[in-house]
Order: sequence, then C-alpha cells, then structure tokens
Amino acid sequence: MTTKRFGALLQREWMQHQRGWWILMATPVVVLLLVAIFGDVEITLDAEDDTSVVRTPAAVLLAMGSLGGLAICNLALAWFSSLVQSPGLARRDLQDRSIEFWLSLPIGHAQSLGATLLTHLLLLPWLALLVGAAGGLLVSLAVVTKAWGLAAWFTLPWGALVAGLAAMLLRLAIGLVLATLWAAPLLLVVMAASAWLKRWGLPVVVAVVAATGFVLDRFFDWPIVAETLEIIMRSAGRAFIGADRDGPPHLAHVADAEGATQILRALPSWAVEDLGQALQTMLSPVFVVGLAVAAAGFALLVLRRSRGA
Amino acid sequence: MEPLIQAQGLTLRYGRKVAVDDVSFTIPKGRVVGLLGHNGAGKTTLMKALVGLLPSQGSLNVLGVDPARDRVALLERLAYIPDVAILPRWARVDELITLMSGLHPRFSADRARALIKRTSVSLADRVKSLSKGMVVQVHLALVAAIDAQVMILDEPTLGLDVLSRKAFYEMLIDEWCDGERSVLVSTHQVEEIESLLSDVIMLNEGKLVLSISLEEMDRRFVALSHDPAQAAAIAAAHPLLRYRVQGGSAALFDGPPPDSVQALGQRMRPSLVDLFVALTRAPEMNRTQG
Repeated sequence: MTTKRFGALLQREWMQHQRGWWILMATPVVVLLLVAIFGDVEITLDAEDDTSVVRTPAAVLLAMGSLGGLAICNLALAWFSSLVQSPGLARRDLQDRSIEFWLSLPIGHAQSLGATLLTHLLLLPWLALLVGAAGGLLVSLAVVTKAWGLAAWFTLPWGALVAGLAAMLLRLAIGLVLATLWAAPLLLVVMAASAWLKRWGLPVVVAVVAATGFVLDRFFDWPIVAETLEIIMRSAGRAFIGADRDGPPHLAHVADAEGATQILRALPSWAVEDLGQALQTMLSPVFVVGLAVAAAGFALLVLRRSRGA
Repeated sequence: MEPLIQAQGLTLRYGRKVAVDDVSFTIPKGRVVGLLGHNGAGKTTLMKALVGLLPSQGSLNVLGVDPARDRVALLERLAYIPDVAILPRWARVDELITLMSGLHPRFSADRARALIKRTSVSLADRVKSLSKGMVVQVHLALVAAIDAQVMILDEPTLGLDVLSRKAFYEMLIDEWCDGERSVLVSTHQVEEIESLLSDVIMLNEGKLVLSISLEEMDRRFVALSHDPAQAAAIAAAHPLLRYRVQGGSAALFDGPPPDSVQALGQRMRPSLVDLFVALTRAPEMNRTQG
C-alpha cells in the first residue's frame, strides 16, 4: 500500500502541474523547430589565411547540436524552474486551501513532502531531458533535411549518435541527482523558512546567511560562508556534467564531421570518467554537512505540515 | 463493548491558551453524535485532536489507537471532512476518484462514481467550476465511499443553502450510516439535524457541559409551557432557562420541576436548541432574563 500511495502522490503532482510542465518542455522544441524550418544554420570558421569562412555545418554536427542542445536546454529549464518554485511549494497546499483535504487522508507528512520534492526536482527534469532529446530528433530531421536533404538525415552515423547521446543523457540524469543533493541544503532550508515564515522565508535566509558570512569574514577573518557557498555552487554545476575539466577528447576537431563522429564514439567512456570524478567530489565534509542541513530542513518542513501548513 | 472514541481528561492547547479543558466522553458504535458549541468553544480543536492533527494531554483513544501517534493508520478507518470547499480546485472529480483510489486502502471508486451520479455533478467537472454546495456533495460522496467505522464532520454545511444542506444530510444518513458506523458532526444548524442525532455533546469555552443521548436528554430535562402570568412563580423555582414559545412562555428545568410548579404549566419536550442555549449561555445573560 505504501508504494501504491506514493505512486498516487506522484500522480497527484502530475495532475496538478502537467499543463505548465508541457508548456515548459514543449516551448524550446517548438521554437527551435520553427527556427529550423524557417531559418538557416551557418557557422563562421577561421580559415588558414586569417579570413573568415561562413558555411553550413556538417549534417552530423547539426544532429548533435539539435539532440544534445535541446536535451540540455530542457533539463536546465525544468530544473531551474523547479528551484525557483521550490519556496512556493512549501506553502502550495495551504495557499490553495486544500491542505486540510490532504491532511484528512491517510498519508504520512514525510511521504507527502517527499513525493512533491522527488517529482519537482528529479522526475520533471528527467522527463524534460527525454522530451528535449525526442524534440531534438525532430529538429535534427528538419534542420538536416533543409541543409543537406532528407537522405543525409537517414545516412547519419546513427550508431555513434545514439550511443553518444544515450551516454550523455544517462550522465546528465545521474548528474541531476548529484547536483540536487549538492543543492539540497540551500533548497530545503529556503523551503523550510518559507513554510514557517511565509513570504519572509527567502529574505530572512538570505539576510542571515549574508550577515553571518560578513561577520565571520570581517571580524574573525574566516570566510567560511562564502567559501562553502562557492563549493556548493561549483560542485552542483560540475555534478551535472564536466566534472572532468579536460572535457571530451578531440574537442578541437568538433567543426568537421569526422571529428564530431570521433567525439560521439568517445562520449560513453568520457561520460563514465566524468561521472567518476563527480562522485569523487562528494567525498567531502561540505557535502556531508550539507546533507545533514538538508535533513534538518526536511524535518522542519514535516513538522510544519504536521501542524497543518 | 469498547467505544469507538474514548476521551478521558482530554486537554488541548494552542501555546498557553487552553482550547479544550479536561474533557471526558465516549462514543459507542452506531451513534450519530452532534457536537455543539459557540464559535471558539473548541469544537474544531477537539475534532483535529480526534484525527491526530493536534497533540493532546490526557487520554484519547480512537478506534483503539492514539490518534497523534498513529494518525495514518487511524485515517484508514476514519473518514474526516474538515471544512467546506477544501477540495483541490485544480482537480477534476474523476481525478479525485483516481487519487483517492491510490491514497486510501478502503476507498471504493465504483461506489464514489455511483454516489456522484446521484448528484448534479459530472465526473469531468473541475472543482473550481462547482458551486459550494456541489463541492460539499462531491466531498461527501468521496468520503462516503470509504469503508470507515467513524466519520467526523466539522461544520460540513456551513454557508450552504437549505436544499444543499438537506441533500448533504440525506446522503450521509442514507448512504453511509448503517447502524454500526458512528458519526460525529459539529454544526450551528442544530434544528436541522436534531432529528438525525442519537447523542449530543456540548462544549462551552473549552469545557464539556453535556454529553448525553437524546433519550436520556428527554428523560432528564423538562420544559414547562406556562401562562405569562405565572412567570414569577416559575422563576422562583430556578429553571435553567426561561424563554418564549408560540403563544406563551416556557421554562426549562434540569430534572423534574417541583410539584407546585408543575401544576402551573404543561410539560413538553425541550428542544435541543433551547437546552443548548440554557447550558452555554453566560450566567449574567441568564440573570437578565429573570
């Protein structure tokens, strides 16, 4: 029953927010599709004699850009939108006056909040990633067909493309979990503050963090707050992708089809290495303390909900 | 037989403020209990404690469990309508049925659909497009589709017109009450539900002033209609309340009035409203009647 109930809570999030989510996920696809149909894609290259050459990119590059670009764009949009909305999520059921209905059902407070957080912070961005990749496929069809003809799209190196794209999607999907864990202390503290202090939650958290950082830095010469925030931000960003700062191999040859295909073939192994690096960065005191702070924030959210808010 | 709800020395607080003070009562199975009290008397606070949404002092046992400790397990066997128009406005009725099916182990989607069919609401309607009365009907249909042992209703018909109120209580009695299940309902429309009740609990400023079955109430409390000219003699017998009835005056006594007074008027059944007024009215207000 617990699993069924949790599934129903996830379904509730989908029912409540699906319209906004579809708009969020479909907009970049539609815009790029229109651009692909009605616009031109060209890149400017520096020739050896120091003159610029404008030319249409190779078909495989167009496909890579469409598939990867849209997937990443959708993922970033969905995650960013969830982060921005998270303080409001803490008080959502109170604001629409449905809180008492949910509290009248046999659902644990932690289960309720967990389903909301899981859906908004992970499931939605994951779905956005997949929708972005699927939309990218459509855009690649349009843009490659327009530039090189339909046959060029069918003769793309699909094996390398699918393998490279799958590796990147998987890396991004796992990276999303890691980035969310890194951001969890900030996120949950702000949510808890919003739940308890309503609209003053975010300003109070910002003011307290800024004042603490200022005092420790100015009077104790201990800039720990700024350093911790910097570590969290940087680690969250790199957890997504790019923890391996050297980047994928053969990046310099990205401008031609052969180089692009090589990169695609190298992507799976690079993604694994990159993920390894991202996991390594989690073995840090900042991450562990951050998780403890996040747990405290979640406990405060549960306590607030148990009191009917 | 163990009662479904048992409270002993129950005290509920909001911070330092005592909302319910040392209350004791029991609700056996198969009863329809009215919880009466003025605004701020502690009715909602008591109901929240009964469903585990407020911590309490004293002893509270609902369906064999401590509500605050086992809220989720309790709510699987207890249905609760906390207030009017609190269904999520974004949802369609059929979505609510789908959700309830997943969230409540004793919810019957088929029964909910059947109950909704008897109202003027369609399954495709969104809650935000429904009138207040319709929302309450939908809410009751959803809750009545739960195979629970106790239903707790906190002012369920507040703000509804008379037809909606009637439809609500008809559905409650016809579709849910089966002689085994119990209902605890708080309302200000005492006259409308008096005929449905088997018991009544009255709260006044957080204190329990009466917990009694209606049969017992009829035996214990006596109203005497009398000629206004006998008012002084009746007042001398210290009734709980003196009030006007059609064509004359009446007095309400806790227990049989003295024989000398009984001869001055005609015995009649006291109404729940009059008893409520008598027991919850401030003493100084009673004095002004004398």
